[in-house]
Amino acid sequence: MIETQNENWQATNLTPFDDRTDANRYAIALDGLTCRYGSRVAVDNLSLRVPLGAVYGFLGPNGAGKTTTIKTLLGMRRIQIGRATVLGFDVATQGLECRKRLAYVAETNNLYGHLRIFEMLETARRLSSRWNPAAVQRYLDLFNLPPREKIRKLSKGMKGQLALVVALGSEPDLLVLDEPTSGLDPLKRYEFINQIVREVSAAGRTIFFSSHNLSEVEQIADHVAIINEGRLIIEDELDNIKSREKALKVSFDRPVWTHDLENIAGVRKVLQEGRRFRLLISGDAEQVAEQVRGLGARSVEVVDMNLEAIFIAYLQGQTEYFGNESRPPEPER
Amino acid sequence: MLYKEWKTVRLKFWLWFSTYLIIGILLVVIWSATRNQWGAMYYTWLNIGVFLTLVGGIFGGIDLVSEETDKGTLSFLLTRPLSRAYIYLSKLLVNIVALSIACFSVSLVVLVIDQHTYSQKSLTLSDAVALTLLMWLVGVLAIGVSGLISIFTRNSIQTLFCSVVAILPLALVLNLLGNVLHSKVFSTYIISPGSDNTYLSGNFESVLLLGGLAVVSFWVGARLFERREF
Repeated sequence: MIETQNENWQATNLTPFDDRTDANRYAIALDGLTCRYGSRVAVDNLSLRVPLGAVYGFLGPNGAGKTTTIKTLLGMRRIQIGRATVLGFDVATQGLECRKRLAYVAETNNLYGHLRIFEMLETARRLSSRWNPAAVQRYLDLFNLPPREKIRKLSKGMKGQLALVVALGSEPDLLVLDEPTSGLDPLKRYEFINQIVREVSAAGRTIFFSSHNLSEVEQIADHVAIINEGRLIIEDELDNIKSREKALKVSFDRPVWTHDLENIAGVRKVLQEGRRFRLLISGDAEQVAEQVRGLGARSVEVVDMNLEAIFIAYLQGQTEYFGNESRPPEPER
Repeated sequence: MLYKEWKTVRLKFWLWFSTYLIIGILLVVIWSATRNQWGAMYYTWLNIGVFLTLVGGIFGGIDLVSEETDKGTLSFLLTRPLSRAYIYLSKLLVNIVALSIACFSVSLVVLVIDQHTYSQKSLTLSDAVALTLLMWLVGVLAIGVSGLISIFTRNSIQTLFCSVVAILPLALVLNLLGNVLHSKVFSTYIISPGSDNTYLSGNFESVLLLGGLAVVSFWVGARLFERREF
């Protein structure tokens, strides 16, 4: 076991978590975390650092290992290899201390349908180490949740809102959200993003959330990690990723071999669309553009990639969405 | 935890209580109509009560964990600052207390009627208490076993099936063991006098055995619940 862990440390770029110096910097620190379901590896040598106070988007396709990672952080699954700390407490040995300071909103509704709203809140109050009744009342008013209503009679969106109220009522230092806005209508989603997240993050609390809604993540997250098949693909501040990841729209008057473009330093992927090419760039886009012009390109245009485009580019090596376009570009005629 | 569990178990409690009450009332009514033709009343109540309590106990334990796993509500509890053993034992405790209140309250009413209404009393008070305790332990053990099974099943139907499958051989083993110990356990022969013709001595080993098994089932359940990954 020790040998395996050492190999994992060596495989990551991060230095192992130091309790003395890193506890005040990171809300979550994962070092070489590996989780298996039988022979299938769900999370593979995952290392992450979630800074205190960050709004951290945890992204990945279905089955990437997001929920398994979250369950491990929450102590619902055992750590098989590696180490996880939450707010400076070791998840494996100090689980109670971790759970005193965090709150969790599940992807699937985890509220008791047979209880009324006020009974659910009373249950949560009794089972929490901290509770703020004034904040709870404010959120109830905000979401128009009637306290005497049975939870099973609420709409999916209202159940999601109540789950948030229950989570926020305990004033957590770390709020873990698994697909928090799924099932919310656009107006409630707007309220969630603009009021709840801003309020929670303004209070200096950390939000760690997974979502499939990339435009939402782009709107609120300041840090992003993308995982696929249990492995970390990229982790950084969102602004850094966006400034680093660019695309070039290139067209030529003459036939060009794709591999000529692929051989240019900084080009990660070349997609051919008729006589036009789309080049995914990592690094200095202008420098790459100069080299492309040197190959005789008729037009070269540097465009920004939104998070959705970056996500798709990283996971599939191809993208359908470029720039700030919300729809796929029309094919050239 | 107890607040939440009571809110969950209260419906079951009223079902238990009303079932005991209906059976108790039927027994007393039929008894008064037949005028002791069927033998002693409380003795009959205990024989019926053993099976009621066994079924009630299984019913109490089948949704202990599996229903929360099925509905996805378990993550609410597991992410609270509570130990898993505390969660599991609290659930057990509330179910046992609810079943006990239903079982003992109706049994007490039937016993009072038995002791004060009819000239031919079925049992002495000490024997009645000892045998009621035995009946209750059958239910407690059933909650413990089905609760333990519910840790690993995905829904209440699975737990019910597995509990019945588990309890039948357990009953057989207990009965064989009981016979070896000269005590009748877990069968209609549960209410049988000992060598000194008192029920208390005749079933003392049964009380120890059922009580011990119930405690073991709680402990094993709590340990397994701590280790289980959800």
